[in-house]
Amino acid sequence: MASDESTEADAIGEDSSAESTVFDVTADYEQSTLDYYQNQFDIWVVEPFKILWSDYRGRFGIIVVAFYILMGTLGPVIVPAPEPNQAGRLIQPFENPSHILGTDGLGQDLFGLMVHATPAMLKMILSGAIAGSVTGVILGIIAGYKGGWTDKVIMTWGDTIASIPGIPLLILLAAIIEPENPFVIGIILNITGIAGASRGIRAQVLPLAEKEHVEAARAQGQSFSGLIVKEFLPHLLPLIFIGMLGGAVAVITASVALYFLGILPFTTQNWGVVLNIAYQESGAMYNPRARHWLLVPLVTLTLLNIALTMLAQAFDQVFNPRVRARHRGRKVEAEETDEEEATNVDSELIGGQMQQ
Amino acid sequence: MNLKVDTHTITYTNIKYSRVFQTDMSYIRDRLIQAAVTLYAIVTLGFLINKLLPGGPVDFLQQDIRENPQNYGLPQRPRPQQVQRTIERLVEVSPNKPLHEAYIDYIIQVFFHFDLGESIIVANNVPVTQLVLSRAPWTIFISTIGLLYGLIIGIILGSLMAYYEGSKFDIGMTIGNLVSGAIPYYVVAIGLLYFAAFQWGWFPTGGRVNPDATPGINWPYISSIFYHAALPAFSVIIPGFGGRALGLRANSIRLLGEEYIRVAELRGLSRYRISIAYLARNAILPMWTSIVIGLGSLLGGSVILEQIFQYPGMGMLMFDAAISRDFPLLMGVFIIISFIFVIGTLLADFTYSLIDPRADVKVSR
Repeated sequence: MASDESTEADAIGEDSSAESTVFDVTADYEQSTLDYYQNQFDIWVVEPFKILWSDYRGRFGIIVVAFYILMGTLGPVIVPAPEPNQAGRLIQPFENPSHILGTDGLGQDLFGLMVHATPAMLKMILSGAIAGSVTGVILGIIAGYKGGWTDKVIMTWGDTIASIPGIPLLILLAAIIEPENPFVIGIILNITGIAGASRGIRAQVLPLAEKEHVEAARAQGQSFSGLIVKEFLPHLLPLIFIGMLGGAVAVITASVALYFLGILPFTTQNWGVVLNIAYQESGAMYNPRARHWLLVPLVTLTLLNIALTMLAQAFDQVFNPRVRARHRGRKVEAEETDEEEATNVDSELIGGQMQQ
Repeated sequence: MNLKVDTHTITYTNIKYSRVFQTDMSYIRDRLIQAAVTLYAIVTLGFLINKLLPGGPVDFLQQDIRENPQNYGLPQRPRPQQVQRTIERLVEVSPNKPLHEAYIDYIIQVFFHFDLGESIIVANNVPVTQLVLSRAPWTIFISTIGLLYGLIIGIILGSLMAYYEGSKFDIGMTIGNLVSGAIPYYVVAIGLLYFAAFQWGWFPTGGRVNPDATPGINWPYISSIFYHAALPAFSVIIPGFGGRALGLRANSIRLLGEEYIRVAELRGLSRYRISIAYLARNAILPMWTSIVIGLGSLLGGSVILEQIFQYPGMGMLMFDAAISRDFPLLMGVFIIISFIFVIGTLLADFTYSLIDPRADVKVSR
């Protein structure tokens, strides 16, 4: 870096002596490919990670999600597969160190059951979240930007898909084709997510397409794909990320529910399967000694959902320059004396809204 | 500078134009056409699943009738025409006709005769439409009160949080709402059922009315309806309001920094007017679409909730049909739930265009 700076300074000196205008000045050192990727890595990975880490919700989300990913990848290798009667029945949690979460009514280790259900869950989440948001984003941008008939056709399609409540559709399909592949289940579970994402993206693109800088880019002959990459995507990125996390939560919630009801075939391990056996078949609702059998899968599922939701919230902070700028502005204002007045206006505005 | 003034005038006239003409019939007409297309597409999807899916209802029935003809009131060795007629009566799709003829027949049956066939297992030979419609009001009842109260609590909490932004109350409520918003409704349902019904006995563990009360407009009957609906509704409200409160909070805080709010203040508009016409409207606006989608997931989620609470509504009917492989009934519930949802969306969209004047300035490029 130090040597780069010195050559830069030299170059500027040469330029001014050669009586050239500012417009002739070009970069004085070549950016190597490595530099480029390092830069991009900083912008897209290091910086967001640091901001996320500095937010309490982001830190919580990252730690918990990382734990679940480890559970789904390394977990099944380390933790032995659970089998009936591997230990005594209904051992309470935190009593026996080799069965930390206790055992169920069939004598299976509950922690093992949770761990071995995670890989399939991760596959569902991955396929559902990615398929849902990619399709939604493409449709939403086209509809919002093109307008007119294109918009009408895409939105009618979106409405049609959104009008098919996801759980009934999956129940119907599960009863007929009995899907077993986690990737397929994930995609089906997030079909309604496509419509939600495309509606949200379209709503963002609509006002964006009217903005002066987009108008200017179009007037200069920027192609549609160029417009998408340069003008739209940077603004939509927060929505896309948050949409993906939302999709993940939806897939988790729906899949556990359907396994819990016993509608998806029990060939795949799932937290919902454990719940189903505890609730529907073993009467854990009546038996206080079996309470943990219900509680363990419920907590496992809820914790992941909370972590993903918190991560989504923290992402909102990362990407929302308005929120950041406003808070930065507030900090400056606080040092000045007119801070009181400004906050008064703010609070009264919302106070008025409450009365409504 | 001139150019800028020009664009402003253009946008202004545009808004004026849309204000004048948008509330008239053309928007309503467009939206009705859209809803009709949606309904049509759902029925078409129903037909395709019925007829084309291997192992689908028609396939299933053909095999089942051949194996147990007595269940369908047929002789031991039914003739192909008899089998065909039975299937046609049950699912409104004829197995042997060419695709397009069967399709036209099906569309006519569904749209003009409101005929979705007959149940084969859950309630033998009862028309599906009658079966579903007798259950529908109960499901709509618990979904609507859940949605409505969740919304009201969410808006109140959200504005309170924005009002006290940055305070301990705000931070505490943010965490609380995050957690409550992330808990799936059926987890709440199981928890409520476990404590409030089984352990403490405050609420009934199942059913939708007190079987001893005489049906009609009398206090014991009406109150028992609400008493039985309380837990299902709470399991919709508790996980619902958290997300909405957070959404409203974020929206209002974001809007407070907007220039047009500043401009409105500078114009000397009253604070009441600013908060109602400029802030509240725009803060609630982005929540509106989420309400629409929320309604859909509630109707869908009723399958799970009603099963947990043993509440005999549409959802439980669908569950029973799925478990016992009663395909005509399953298809019927599926189509009717989708229909109800389309009509709900339609209503929400009409109200959306009322609160958002920008809703459809339609420009084609």
